[in-house]
Amino acid sequence: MRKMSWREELKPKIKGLRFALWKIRKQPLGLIGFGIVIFYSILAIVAPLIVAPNTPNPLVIPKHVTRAPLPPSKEHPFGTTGPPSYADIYYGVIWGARTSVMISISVMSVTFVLGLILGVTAGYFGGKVETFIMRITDIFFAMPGLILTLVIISIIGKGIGPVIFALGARWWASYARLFRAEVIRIKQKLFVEAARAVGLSDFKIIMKHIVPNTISSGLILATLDFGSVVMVAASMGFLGLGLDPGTAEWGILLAGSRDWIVAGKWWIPLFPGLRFRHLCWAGTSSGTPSGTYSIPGQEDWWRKVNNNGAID
Amino acid sequence: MEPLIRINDLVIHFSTFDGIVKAIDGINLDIYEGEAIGLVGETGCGKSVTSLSIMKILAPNALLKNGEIMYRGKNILEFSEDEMSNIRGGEFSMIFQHPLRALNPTMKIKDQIFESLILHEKNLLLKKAIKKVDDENPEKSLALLNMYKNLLETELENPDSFKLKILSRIPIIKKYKEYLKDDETIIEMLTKTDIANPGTVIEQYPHELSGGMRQRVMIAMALSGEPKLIIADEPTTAVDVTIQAKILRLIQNLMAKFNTSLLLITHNLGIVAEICERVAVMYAGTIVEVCDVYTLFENPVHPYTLGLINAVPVIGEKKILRDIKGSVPDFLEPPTGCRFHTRCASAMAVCSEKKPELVEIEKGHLVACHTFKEDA
Amino acid sequence: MRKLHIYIIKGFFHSLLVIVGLSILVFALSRSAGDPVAGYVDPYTPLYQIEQIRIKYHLDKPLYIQYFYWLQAISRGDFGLSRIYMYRPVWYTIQRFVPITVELAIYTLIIMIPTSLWLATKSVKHKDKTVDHITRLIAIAGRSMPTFFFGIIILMILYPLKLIAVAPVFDFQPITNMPTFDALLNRDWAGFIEAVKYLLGPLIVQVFINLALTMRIMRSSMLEELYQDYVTMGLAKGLSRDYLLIKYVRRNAMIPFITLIGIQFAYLVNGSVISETIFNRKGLGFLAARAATQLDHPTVLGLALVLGSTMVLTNLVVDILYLYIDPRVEAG
Repeated sequence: MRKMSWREELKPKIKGLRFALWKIRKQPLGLIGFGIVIFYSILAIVAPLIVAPNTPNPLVIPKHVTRAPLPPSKEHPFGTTGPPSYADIYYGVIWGARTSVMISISVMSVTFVLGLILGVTAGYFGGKVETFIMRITDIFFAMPGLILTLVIISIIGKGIGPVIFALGARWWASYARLFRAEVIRIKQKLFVEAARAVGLSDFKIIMKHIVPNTISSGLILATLDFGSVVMVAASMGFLGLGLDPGTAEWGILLAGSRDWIVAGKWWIPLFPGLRFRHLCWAGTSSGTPSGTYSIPGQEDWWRKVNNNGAID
Repeated sequence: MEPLIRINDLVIHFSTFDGIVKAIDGINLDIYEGEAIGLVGETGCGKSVTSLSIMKILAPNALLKNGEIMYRGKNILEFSEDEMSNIRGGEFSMIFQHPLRALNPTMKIKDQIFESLILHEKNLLLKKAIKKVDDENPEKSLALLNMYKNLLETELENPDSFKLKILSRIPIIKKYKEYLKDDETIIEMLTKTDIANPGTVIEQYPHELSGGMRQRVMIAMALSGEPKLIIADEPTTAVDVTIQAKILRLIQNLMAKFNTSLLLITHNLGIVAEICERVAVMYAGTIVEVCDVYTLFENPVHPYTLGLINAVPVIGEKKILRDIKGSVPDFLEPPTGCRFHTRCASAMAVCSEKKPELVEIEKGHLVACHTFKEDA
Repeated sequence: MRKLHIYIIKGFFHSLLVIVGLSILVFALSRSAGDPVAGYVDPYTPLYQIEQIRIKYHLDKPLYIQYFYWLQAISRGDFGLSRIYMYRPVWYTIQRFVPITVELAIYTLIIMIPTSLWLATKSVKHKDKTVDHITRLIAIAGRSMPTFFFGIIILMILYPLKLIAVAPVFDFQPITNMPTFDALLNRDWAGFIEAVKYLLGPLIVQVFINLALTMRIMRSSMLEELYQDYVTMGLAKGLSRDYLLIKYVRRNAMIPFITLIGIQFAYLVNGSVISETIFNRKGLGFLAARAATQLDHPTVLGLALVLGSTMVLTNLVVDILYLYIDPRVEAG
């Protein structure tokens, strides 16, 4: 019994990819969502081209002091927030894209890598190592996410670094769990063959087999979480934690709006809110989870794959 | 003699992600009253789909492309869901392969049997219920009891009455339905299937019973409506060998009582030999041969049937087991013409062009094969 | 039955372990934010007393010893003093905010459970038709809607209509400490309306967000049951599809659904930080946000421990409940 060549391993994955693409095609919402995510990422990159960056720190919104918030006008296309932050909303929205995308990507990378390392270690070696790592994830799962982030930020302090750390602390556990589960699943498949391979199973080679297989599920989770991370990061901003007030961040912009809504200044929450909504929604729908869409007889599709076309 | 069921040229496709699966490609089958006919073939040849078509319980992506199923002069494929509902469980009933999966895991046995009873033996239950109300302890409110009796009688005589519809929804009055639940009748039904301790069994859940017991429960439910046709889909595959024979005997006895027909779906030729009078052999969505059971074993004619019989080991006989070359075809792009021609030793040119019809080569023996066109 | 008992005991120990781990985490955090004694004193404490308190809480000893005394203090309910609430004990402060959050949780559940069941059933019955698409859109909207954005919109719409109260004043006697119930018990109808207005904003937000999730999960659960053999058998028995949908599919799909509800309840009790902040509703979430922004460490950490333990215990209870409800599991 020879080990499967990488070409054969690729076939079901290609099939899976075809299916995923077909699903996206059948549900244009997913495609739109994906497009929006790309749009914002590009926006984040080209921000300095659209609006002149503020010196010395481009992420701090230039202040425009007035007694009350100004409605949208030519110089301030989205208006200003008035006291206490006196921010130009347009600037905040454009550069806010950069902040959010930056935070999100950093957090995603950190949690992905950390979760991957720990999850694969736990799943592969099993035994005490696995139990230990899983216990730790349990502890982190015990706290509702927002509270955990709150706690960490309040202890560590402000700044982008702490924000990324706090968000990372909240998310790594789900990735660790996911990767561990995947490794266990793959272990059962390939390990048998590997064991037969003359007993000299090269662990590194096995890792090279296992890791590529597990990454795909991790990526699916990552696309789903992208939107969630932006949401939680903005929630932190909204509550006034983490980043300094006045930083270009959508949550912070929205926070200022709350008091003014009561006075009827609608434009303050509108623009950042809409952008925000876009991005989050885009993030979650581009990673359309299975089960939210199906064709008639989708179950038959799975049966077909297993049974070589035979229907009983 | 007119058959009980006549399937004419049935074509069923399924629409799936990978394309159209041509599962059933024109089958013709007659089932006569009181007979036991086997439907044999490999896994995946379409036997179950055929049976589900008769019951009209196909998956939502099934496409009826052609054909009719005649029962009592009407095409049941055109029946409405309501009409089918009446037939299912009553005139047609079905026994499934895995009784553990086929029974509702969170319902007690008695409740599940009751469901069948209330649908198909309602009058009997009603009469018993009325008697029970009569025998009821007069300490309870007389007015209420009279009300219950009245409702039960209305159900018996005039089930569509408006008054019934309204009153049966009111909380306390609704209780009259409790009288319908008759443990005695349920136990009676189970006893007919030779089950031990029916009194205990009815209070249990499916996973608490053994495989054989579960199968008997299914049989009891299948017979509750005195069916004209029982479709048994691999009824013994999931059961111990020792129980298999008992189950088969049981089915036979009960059939004899009501002169029920049996469509036995299986890939096990041994069972076919036990219990069937006629056999239809199915391959890749088509029926290739129909004959009586003796002819099947002694003088099969279609190349596929021959292959099947030759592949069965016989105790006491030293025989070379020959398997059939090749494998089951892809239903997405099935072979043209006769679906078996790619594996057939006697394939001719015409086999890949034209699909052979089922022709009667001698009395009661039909074959679908071009090699017989020549012999008239 | 024995297997069941073993499972319960194992679960219990596991939860205990997690709570202990959590406490270690919280302890570590509490010792990494400045001088720990700050959590136990107020600005008026004289210096010598501070020293006494330092000794009382063993803050001069090595960390692992500190941990044990810290645990001891916790078990007595001594989490320190809350700086933002007049240096009252943290435990007392937390307790005061609990009923408000619980009230919100109760109302959310009451609305959510029947609604999600009904919508899920409709979605399954008319799969891939209009109803299904609508519920899917609601689900996506709920999932991707940042809580505070939705909250702000609701605030924007309802506040001018005077349907939301952000700073209510209640006259009646507090009995349960939950405004709506207290108002009813006191027969204070005007107060009741005020209490409802206090509740309305966060309620709408919470229901929307949670409904999206529960509805779709119930739908998936039902679809899984729908294709099981026993449903096909039910059809073969002649049962109507409507009957099967409710009595077979939904009833069996409810079993995992119940565990989901249990977990949702835990989340709700843990306080919806954002919706409470937006509407100024003084519950646990509000407390958490305020304490975090004002850097009131004892409160934040106390909340972390309390809320975390609640989650763990709720999960345990839900797991055990599941075992009792599902007859399939009884056989082990």
